[in-house]
Amino acid sequence: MGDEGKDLRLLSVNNLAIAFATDEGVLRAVDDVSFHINRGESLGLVGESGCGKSVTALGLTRLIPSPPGRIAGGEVFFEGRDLLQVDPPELREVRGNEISMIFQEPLSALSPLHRIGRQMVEGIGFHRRMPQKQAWQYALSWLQKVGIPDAAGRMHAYPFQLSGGMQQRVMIAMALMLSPKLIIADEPTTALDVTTQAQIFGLIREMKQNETALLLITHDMGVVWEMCDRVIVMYASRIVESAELSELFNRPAHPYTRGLLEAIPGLARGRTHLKDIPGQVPSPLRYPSGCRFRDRCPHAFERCRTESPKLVECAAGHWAACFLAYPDAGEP
Amino acid sequence: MKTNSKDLAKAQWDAADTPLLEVSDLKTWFEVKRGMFSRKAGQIRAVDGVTFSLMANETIGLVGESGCGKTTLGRTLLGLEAATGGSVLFRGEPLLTFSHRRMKAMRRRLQVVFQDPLSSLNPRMNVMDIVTEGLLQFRMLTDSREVHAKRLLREVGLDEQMIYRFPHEFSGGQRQRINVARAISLRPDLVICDEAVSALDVSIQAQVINLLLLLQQRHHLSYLFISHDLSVVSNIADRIAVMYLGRIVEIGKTVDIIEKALHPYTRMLIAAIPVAGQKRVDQEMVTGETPSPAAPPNGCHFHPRCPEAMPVCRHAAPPEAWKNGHYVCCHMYRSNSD
Repeated sequence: MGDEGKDLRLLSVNNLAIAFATDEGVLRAVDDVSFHINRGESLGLVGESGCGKSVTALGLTRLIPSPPGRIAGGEVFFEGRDLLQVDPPELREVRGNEISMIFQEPLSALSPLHRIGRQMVEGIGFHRRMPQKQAWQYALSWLQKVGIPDAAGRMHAYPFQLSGGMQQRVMIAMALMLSPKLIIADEPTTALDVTTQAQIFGLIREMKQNETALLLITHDMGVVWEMCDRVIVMYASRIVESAELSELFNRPAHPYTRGLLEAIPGLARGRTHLKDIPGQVPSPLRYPSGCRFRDRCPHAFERCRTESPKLVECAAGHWAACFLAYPDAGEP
Repeated sequence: MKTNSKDLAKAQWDAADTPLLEVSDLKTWFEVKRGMFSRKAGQIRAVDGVTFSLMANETIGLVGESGCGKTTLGRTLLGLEAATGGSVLFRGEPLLTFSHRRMKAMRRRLQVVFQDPLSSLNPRMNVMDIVTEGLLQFRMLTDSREVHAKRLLREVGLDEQMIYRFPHEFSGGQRQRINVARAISLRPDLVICDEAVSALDVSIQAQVINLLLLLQQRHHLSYLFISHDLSVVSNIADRIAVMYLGRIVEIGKTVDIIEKALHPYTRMLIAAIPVAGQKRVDQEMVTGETPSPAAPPNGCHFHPRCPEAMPVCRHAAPPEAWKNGHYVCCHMYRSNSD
């Protein structure tokens, strides 16, 4: 991908590789992953469990537990510096301040021992010079902004005293209150009811300022559809497809993406046979040679066995790693 | 074969036009105890007057948000929670008053598949022992355990060579297939699926849903399919029941619930679902959260969140209305009852 529009670009990930040492050998959780996020853009990273999407997100801010994990290679350029190279104090300055995260389980991301107000004030105090009282008021104003009723009272509550939806609102307030340039949200609504999820979508959209970018990690195409401008699909530690939202939904190029879109149960009128993807995701310890999807792919042919397909641009801004999507391949 | 006479008995049951399961005014309440001497501090009415019936070979989808009592309802039917009141007729027999022994015998006809495929399998038993344990218990082994196990694995789409493996050697989708194999091993009439596909990835979820549909056709099963996911439910259920704070607020044919929902809560649930490539969430229709089941609002439980709430909803319990097999419990439909 060229250098055009470089000032637009907030984050560039080049050839990221992350490995975990296990008893059974080295597990390559993220394998040669490259992508970028523009300022203000909402990018979805989708895939099934074990595909490496969450590990990719953790790797961006070097949150991989090490050992056993290890960033085995690549670059993560954020505003001109490689986050994989900066020293720890500088990295701490970036985390929470310029890049903030929202996790799936708010209860395990919040400290169970400290009241909500104190946790928020601590975060503000770390990144901003602000008197305690002012920081308290600032935190309170954010709890009000994310729609928590009786926010002043909730500042004194412990996380467990709030419902799951309210906890996630607190997480969103904490992630947004320092006006980060990038929010990484890892399955932010997966543990919530659909009605709560719908409200959280609205909240993130409303609160996210125009210049804030969002990297949304999810297994749910419905969530992507709701929240994202552009989508990256991962399968077996690699990116298999990336495109603008409507392009991906209307013209999926990779057989895996097509299968995934067809397998989603929509609102039906009764017993409906769903199109499934046969087989199962290969173990990351024993990936097949060539294309990692070939065992489940209805179109697999000899070349898929021997050669690994590269990500190629099959239409403007639409990239896919499938031989059938190569410009010289003709119609699949 | 021996099973023929049993299948015949079942066929006769189906021919009789009575429901397989009739639940009336079922209540499961929990006492909340607090402080010294375990003072009674209140009550959680997890299931509070639920009535519905399920025909042979029918699937009812039971949907609702977390804490609405759908899981407790399933557990009460299985005898895993004690009912506080009401009655349950299963094949015409009163299930709740059964002795321990008769309940055990009845379990052959009443099976369950839980959400977490790993924790519901004994890690120390191999697959053959897991799927044939029930057959052994009920003296239904007509062949060696090996033969039975292989047949069952084939039936749920697993490799029959895997019978000596242990649960941890399987993926999530395969484990759920093992759970399904165990559930159908006794040729039950009813399988209660409690969030049976919720923990699975989309591509695997579709496989297991298709398997459940296939087995239903083949063995004439009935399902009570409990899930928080209305889209999944709409692909498997013939009728859908929507639960809110311990009560069923609407039941109807799947197509009627999805396309012509009457209750404002059902409409809110549908509005909240993003359907990839088709519809976005209707943000304005979705508000509020479920109140605590320990202190449900007066009148209609849903009125604080309801966009249609009227003054009457605040103090009076909503009337029940039936029309063409479509049941709704809401003040807006009081005139429709027949």
